[in-house]
Amino acid sequence: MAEARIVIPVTLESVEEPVLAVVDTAAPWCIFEPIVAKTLARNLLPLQRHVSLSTRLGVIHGALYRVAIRIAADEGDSLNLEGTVFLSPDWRGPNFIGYQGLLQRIRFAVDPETNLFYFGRD
Amino acid sequence: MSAMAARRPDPEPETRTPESFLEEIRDIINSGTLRGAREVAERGLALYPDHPELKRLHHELRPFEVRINPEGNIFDPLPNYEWLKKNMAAYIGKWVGLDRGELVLASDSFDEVHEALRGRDHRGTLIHHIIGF
Repeated sequence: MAEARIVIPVTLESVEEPVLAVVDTAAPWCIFEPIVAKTLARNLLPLQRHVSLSTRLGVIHGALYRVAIRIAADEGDSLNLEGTVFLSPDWRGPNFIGYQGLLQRIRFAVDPETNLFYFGRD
Repeated sequence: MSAMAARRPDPEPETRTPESFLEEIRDIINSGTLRGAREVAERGLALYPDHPELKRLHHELRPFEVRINPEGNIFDPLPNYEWLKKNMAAYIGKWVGLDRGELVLASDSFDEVHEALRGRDHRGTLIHHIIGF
């Protein structure tokens, strides 16, 4: 049986098209796939190099960046915010939106019945 | 008065080096949070106001802004989701570029898909890497 996940489209600076990311309240940082990460890291200086992250795929080493992210709404207002993003060439999983790195800076709710993700600033 | 309120922070020992502040910040970040990291940079800067790495970190750890963007909305994303639900099994391992429920390009290369979507209205597009995870 497929695992139930909350997946939302987010737009990152320097990648104009939205990409899908899994909402994960247990993940400390946002994580993006290496090729997306490469596009991002080309234009940014790391907030911190040599950061370790314990994941279900093992401990991954990478760097933390401060990245402009848009969570696009299809109804109501979209949000522009800065996320703390972990980038690693060794990451083999999908994109994640983490708690410390983004979710705790907004208000959000999920309606599992209608499969909707609600979010806002205030 | 609570014990918490009565407690005063110890003054920084004069022997503390800039590196010790940087290490404390690194330890905080490696524990999976940024909480308290900026304060450590601030304490370091009180002793070493010109230290470039402490200054940079203090700036990088500034409070995060969240702004409403009424212009940033996307079209109804359901057609793209429906396409993925119906077709993803046939595209495992590929990057797909979608536009309002239509496949524009499936490729092993993110850059090719990104390029193929260039010039289209971003409110209707989506890039997704179909991987088993």
